[in-house]
Amino acid sequence: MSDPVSLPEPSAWRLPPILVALAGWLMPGLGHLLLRRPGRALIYLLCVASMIGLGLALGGHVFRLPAHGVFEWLGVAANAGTGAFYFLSGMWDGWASDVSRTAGDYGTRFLAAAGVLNLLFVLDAHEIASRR
Amino acid sequence: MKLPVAASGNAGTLSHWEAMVLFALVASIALGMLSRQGTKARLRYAAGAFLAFLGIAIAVAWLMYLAVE
Repeated sequence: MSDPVSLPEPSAWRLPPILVALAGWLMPGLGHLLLRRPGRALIYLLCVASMIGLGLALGGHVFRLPAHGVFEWLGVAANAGTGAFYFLSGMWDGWASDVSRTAGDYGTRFLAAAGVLNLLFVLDAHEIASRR
Repeated sequence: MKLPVAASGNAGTLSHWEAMVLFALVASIALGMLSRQGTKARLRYAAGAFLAFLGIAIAVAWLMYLAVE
């Protein structure tokens, strides 16, 4: 009796890795969803969304362009890592940033960490797509 | 829960400890998902990272407290 043959995955979802990465950056978890990993996609979305929610709730500062100095540029790069959340946060002024208190400083770190985490998720999605 | 040192933001009050625990929880889950394969290994890694976050934070807090004293 011959060994069972593993069939290749359907090629319908073989998207270019760069497109998967772009989708993952724009909406956290979308890259993994396109790679048919809904569980991971949901966890990644919840991680980034909860970090952003806590950051905004604590009065964190969202860095925007034009940036002045290295630290502001780093802040923009970290915040922009959240993709759509970054652009949407600019349209929503319900909670003002307040870095005069410790909470606001914590919030700023939460927002930066959300962007950096999403960039790690993007790299993960790109790597998975490249392996296929 | 409201501890003496509180971080008041837009949505009420969160103690420094609570903010740190939430940060550690989310970061641990994310790192566990990224760095390990399989549910069991991920859970073990996330739990270890979470405890390391808390342990190091408590140790550093004590060091700062003793340095000021």
